[in-house]
This record gives sequence, structure tokens and C-alpha cells, in this order.
Amino acid sequence: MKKTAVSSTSTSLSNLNKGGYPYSYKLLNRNPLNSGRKLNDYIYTFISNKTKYKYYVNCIEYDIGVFAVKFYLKIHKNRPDRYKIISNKGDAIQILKTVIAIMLNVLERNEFASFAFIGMQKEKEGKELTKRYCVYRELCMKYFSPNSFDHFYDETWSFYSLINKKVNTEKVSKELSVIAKQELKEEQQQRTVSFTRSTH
Amino acid sequence: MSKIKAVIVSKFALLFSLGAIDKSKNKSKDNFLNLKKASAQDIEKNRCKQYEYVA
Repeated sequence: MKKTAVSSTSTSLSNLNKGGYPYSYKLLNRNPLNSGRKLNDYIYTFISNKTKYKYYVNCIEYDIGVFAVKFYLKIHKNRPDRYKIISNKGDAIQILKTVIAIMLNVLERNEFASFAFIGMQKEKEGKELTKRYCVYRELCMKYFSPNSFDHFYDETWSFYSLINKKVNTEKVSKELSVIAKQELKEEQQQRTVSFTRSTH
Repeated sequence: MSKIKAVIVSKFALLFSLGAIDKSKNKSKDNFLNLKKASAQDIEKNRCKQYEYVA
């Protein structure tokens, strides 16, 4: 797929620009996935103007029209805990705004798109009501209108989702719950297996 | 005597409440991801009004 450079000049993004502009990003690739209910992985990338670090953003599309949004630093690409690492580079707000700008780009491409994410825990933090989750929830409430999206959450798992009101939100949220349960269980099992391996 | 009774009653009350907390913990473990819907009022109440929605 041809790389597409996207600048944050769209009129829908003008409201994001208060208190720091999002960085320019580009869609790097769309990888078709043949894994359960996952359809595609849209890989976006951007470089922090402040630190010059490169970031990857994965938008994993599910068959119910929900995109799971995940991001990490390129230098952590091969680390299994890449989503948990805190970079502490001092431009978190601009990075998060860039991720929101990417979500808006997904929405431009698919007007029925919904979004979901988990606020991963830092070291020595439980999975419940994580700091990341609190920040993401605040941003979602700040930027995504309840007229366009229904906001579903589970604080026990630091899980937040924005379900597009152009679809049957109750039905999608139920389906999403089933998918998320399955994935969280699989992740837990993998962790147990890797723990068992590492202790032998 | 009444003081001793009061102490015993309060200890039992504490034990019962701890049991209830433990049970509720187990219950939340059983409810593996239970999505709740945020009401529009909650969203409006929690958001900073100086920012406009982007979507």
C-alpha cells in the first residue's frame, strides 16, 4: 500500500489544536489479519517534533466495526511489554492528540467506525482504574460527543470504548464485550504460560 | 458486661462485613468485563467546557 502523508489541517481537527498541535502522521500499511475476529491492522506512524522519537499506532479492525487502538515507541517494537512502558519524554499530550487525530482519520475512512482501548498498567500498578485509563477516559469525554458516540467502560479492566451511534450501539457493545473477554482471557493464559516457562 | 457484649457484637459485625467484601471481590472476578454505559449527563459534567468536541 502506498504511504500516505497526512497533515493535521482538516477542519475537524481545528478543535484539537488548543494547548498543543498534534504531530503529522502517515498511514504506513494495512495488514490483512486472518486471526479470529480481527480483519485488518492499520499501522500509522509519527515522529515527535520535540524528542524526534518515532511512534507506531496500531488500529486493529474487528468484524463488528470496532478498532482497537494501541501505540508504542519504535525502539520498543520487539518488547512484549511495549504497551506498558512509560516513555516520560515530556510530550504526552501531543502524542495523545496525535492518536486522536489518527482515530479521526479512521473515522473519515469509515464513518461507522467505533473505538476501544485498555489503559495498560504501569509497573507496580494493578489492572483496575489505571492512570492511563483515567487520562484516556478524560480525553474521550473531552473530545467525543455523546451525540455521536456511546461511551462504554469497565473500570475493573481499565477498558473504554466509543461506540458509533450510526450502528446499533447496544448490540455492538455486547459483541465487543464477548471479544474483549476472550482476548483478555487469552492474554492471561499466555502470561501464565510464559511465567511457568520462566520459572523452570 | 454490656461493654463486653458490645465488643463481641462489633467484632462479629466486622467479620461479617469483611466476608461481604470478600464475596463482592469474588463476584467481580466472575463478571469478567462488564461494560457500563456512561450517561450523556456524566460526560457533560466531567468534561472541560473550554474544549469543543472533534467528533
